[in-house]
Amino acid sequence: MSSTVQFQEISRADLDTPNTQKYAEKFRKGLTEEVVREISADKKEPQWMLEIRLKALKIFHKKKIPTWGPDLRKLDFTDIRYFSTASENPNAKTWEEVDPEIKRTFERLKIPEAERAVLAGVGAQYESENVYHNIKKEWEEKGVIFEDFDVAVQKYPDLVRKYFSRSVPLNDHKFAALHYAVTSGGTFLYVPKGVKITQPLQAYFRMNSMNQGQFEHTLIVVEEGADVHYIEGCSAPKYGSQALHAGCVEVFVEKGAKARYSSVENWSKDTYNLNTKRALVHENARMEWIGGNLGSGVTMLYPCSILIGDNAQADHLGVAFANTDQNQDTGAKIIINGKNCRAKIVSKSLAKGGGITTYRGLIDIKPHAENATVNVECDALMLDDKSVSDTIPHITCDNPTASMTHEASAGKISEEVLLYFQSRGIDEETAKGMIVNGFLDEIVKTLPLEYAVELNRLIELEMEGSVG
Amino acid sequence: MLNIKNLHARLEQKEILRGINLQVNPEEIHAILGPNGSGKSTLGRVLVGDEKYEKTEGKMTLEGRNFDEMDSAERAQAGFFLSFQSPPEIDGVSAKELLLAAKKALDKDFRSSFRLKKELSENLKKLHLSDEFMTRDVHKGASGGERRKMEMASLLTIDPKIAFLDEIDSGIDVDAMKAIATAIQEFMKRKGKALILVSHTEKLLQMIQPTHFHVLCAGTIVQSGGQEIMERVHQCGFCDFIQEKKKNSQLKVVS
Repeated sequence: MSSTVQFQEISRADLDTPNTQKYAEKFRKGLTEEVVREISADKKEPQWMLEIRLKALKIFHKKKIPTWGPDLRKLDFTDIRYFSTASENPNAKTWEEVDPEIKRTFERLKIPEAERAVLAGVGAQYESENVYHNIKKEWEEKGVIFEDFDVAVQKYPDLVRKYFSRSVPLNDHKFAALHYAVTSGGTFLYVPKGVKITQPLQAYFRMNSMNQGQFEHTLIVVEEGADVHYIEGCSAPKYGSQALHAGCVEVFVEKGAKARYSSVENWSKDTYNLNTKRALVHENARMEWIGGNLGSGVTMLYPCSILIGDNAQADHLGVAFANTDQNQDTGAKIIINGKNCRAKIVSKSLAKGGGITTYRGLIDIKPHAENATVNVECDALMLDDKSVSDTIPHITCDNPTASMTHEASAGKISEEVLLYFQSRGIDEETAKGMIVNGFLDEIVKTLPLEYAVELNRLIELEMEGSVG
Repeated sequence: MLNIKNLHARLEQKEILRGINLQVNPEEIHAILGPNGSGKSTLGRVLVGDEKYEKTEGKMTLEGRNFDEMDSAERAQAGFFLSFQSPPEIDGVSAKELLLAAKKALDKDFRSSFRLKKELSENLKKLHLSDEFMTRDVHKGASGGERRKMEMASLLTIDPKIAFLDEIDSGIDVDAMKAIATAIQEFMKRKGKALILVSHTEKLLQMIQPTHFHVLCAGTIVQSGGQEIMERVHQCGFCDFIQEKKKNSQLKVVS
């Protein structure tokens, strides 16, 4: 089996090298009501959208920084550029129309290649705006909508308004409020009743300039009996100065529908990734979250599934890798209200060079949730003595018919296993790489082949120099 | 080929090997017998370069190359193979992936995963293992017998110069024993191979017919010879050798 997308060729330079950022000077730093109004005016938004923004801004100022989890005291809200655009020509339908320098960036990240080979549609966001957005004709003809979120607000205001902020409310937490105040770009994906999309759709988010903030909103609606796989990738160059990502993903999985959301987040190590993802899962529907978190200095991300219908299901599969100066605080939230619901969480984390990984999980089984089944498995691998790993599960169960298991393991690479590899002639570095890949295999193999290769490649880049 | 001279080694503070001398030439099969805790497995571990053991004295060379200057992978690349007494389970790595990486490490020109698959499949068949063992996680959920047969299939695939088989025959049924014996015979038919065999069971030794026998007691080889040694062990156990050794060492002290 040979992949036509050469993700294994991606190098550190492809991810870390910035383009020109002169355009950014036009946009000021800091967060004021004026900035919020300017963003809204720039997009020529309807009044209701502006009202949501202003309301959210007030909540943001009122809410306190979380007192739990990683230390966010160094995050300086005044030294972030909340909105900037680099391109004269947003939302191009062909790559030829995309600014050549920006196009080259996405080519280095293999996005057009992947689009040709395996995807049903692609969105490419650069700073605050989508520079490219396209869906293959056959799916468009079936009524699938795949648009830049800002465009969708204009083109499908009623549809957007019906779902927007219905799963993640403005006052959910400080960064959700911030997100709604300055949101820009993102994806609107609507799959009509009964349409099963056989190829995944992908959006790629790239931050380019220093001290940039990215606040894209992803809204996915999967109507009754429909089926979709949506993939997100993200990266940003490294400057040694803070950047902020506070995106929001809302997924609505209607009766008997199925949604799979996969993401590989690889922000630069200067980035605070404070992201919110939530799915409302109806009767007989199924939600799958597959996430790889490799980048960012600080990540706080706990995808959430709310199982509101009977027989609803959720799978959360997550990989986190924390290297030097990285704190990956990730996990899952499952709230069950329907009868006979099932949820599974598999979390695998790797810590190296003094990195910190934490699994933080919340499971809440409500009084009406008869016969709920929840299985949690979290495994942590520490690659040296300096690195740290924690597991913080929180379980509330208000129904006695629930069945729950929680398995956790934390440890280092077994010396016996390492010796076994070496006794077969395999050198230490290769052996460690293979053992780490094997540790993650259960999750990586759920990704389409091309993305499994990409994730393995990104892990390989992190593993370099792991033999001291 | 393999030359071990006055080898001393310890685990933490405990000295386990106390002056082992052993010379193994191509086409030879050396059986090492000895009571539990005499140092048989330790010898394999020290040869493969397990860092838990500290070599305190002596010299090990393979075709003139000093093991002191090589790590475990390099020793394997030089042609040394150890079959583990309790092979570990490996998550998410298949025998196919592991052995392809091994072949690539041993032979820089080896690239064909197709060729590896074909070879491994043939070798698994010889050990009565199905092709499923090629793709499932190495040793994961496998029985003791299956693990040992997998070690033998790995040996045939990697094709080292000399193999140290650590109780490859313990706790397996007659059919598995036969399959393993046949695999060992096939390996020894290849040109210039040598074998060290640690075993408790007479059955395998009868099938394999080692060329040399050694009795290891308290970290030293107390007796070396031919077939007659196995018969003596069979009749009187190891007590005989241990007593003899005690006598000898007392004599040494007196003289």
